[in-house]
Amino acid sequence: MKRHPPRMAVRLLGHFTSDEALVGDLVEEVARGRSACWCWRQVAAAVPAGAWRDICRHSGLAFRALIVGWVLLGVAFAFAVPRFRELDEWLFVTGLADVRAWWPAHHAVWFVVSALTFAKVGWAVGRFHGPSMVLLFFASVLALDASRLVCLMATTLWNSADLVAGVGAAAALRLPILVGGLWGARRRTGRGNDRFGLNEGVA
Amino acid sequence: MGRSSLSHFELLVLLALMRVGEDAYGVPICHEIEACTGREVALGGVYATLERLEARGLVSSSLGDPTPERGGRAKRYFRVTAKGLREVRAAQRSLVRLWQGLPELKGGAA
Repeated sequence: MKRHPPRMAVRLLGHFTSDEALVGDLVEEVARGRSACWCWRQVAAAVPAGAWRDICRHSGLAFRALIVGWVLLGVAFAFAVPRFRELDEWLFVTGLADVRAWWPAHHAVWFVVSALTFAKVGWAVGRFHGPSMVLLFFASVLALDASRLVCLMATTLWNSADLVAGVGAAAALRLPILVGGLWGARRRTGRGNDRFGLNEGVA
Repeated sequence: MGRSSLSHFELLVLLALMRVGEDAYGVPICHEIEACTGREVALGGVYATLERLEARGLVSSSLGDPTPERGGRAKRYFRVTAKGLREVRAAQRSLVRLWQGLPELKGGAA
């Protein structure tokens, strides 16, 4: 029976490279007996390389994506999220806050709202700038998280294991940026990044 | 003395490309590097290097026909250009000069 590479890996690679030959090579190698693990390793190496190439070639677009992403994130957390808190206070005022007493998972609502906000911002960045810029924006958010964690470590008695755990948790919470971004940038044609004009002038 | 601007991996890719010959695309190039160096290389890394070399005019590429065993995707065949060959020769001359007269390397074993 012919073996196929993981569909998700192929789709992910398709997001970050327009080179069908590379995807074809992966398909060929997996059919010859390479493992799914090998395939994922290849994709994990190719995605950052492809994204970095796009970012270097289109630094203006990358800069715009960062500005748009951070402005949207700022607007969302400065205006939209406080409205949610107001709703929370309104629940108290109306006495409906008792709902929390019989619904222990009410904290999850905050995480869902936060995740949806990140996903929407990621979607907007991806929709207008392409998948590589989503990765750049995601990395910039993680970099800020990491710097805040380092500052926190400097003032408290954290160790490096706590830092790794903290960055891991932050990455998991920010994951909706990637999901929303890739959804926004999903391929509408078979030409990968071409609809963002990222492959102009590329042989 | 001629100066070569090729990095170590670029030189590996160019040499593998020349060794494979006419039928050189991503997979055999990777296999050739793996067979000669004994270490695994990433296909994406090889393609990124080939793209960089192509932008510098050291290799040229052409698309083959889509094949069913590749899920209907075409192969991209690469060839070393005359300029690429000159760069490889220049790198070879530089390396041979550096190797010559080193007592530590006499006898061929490191």
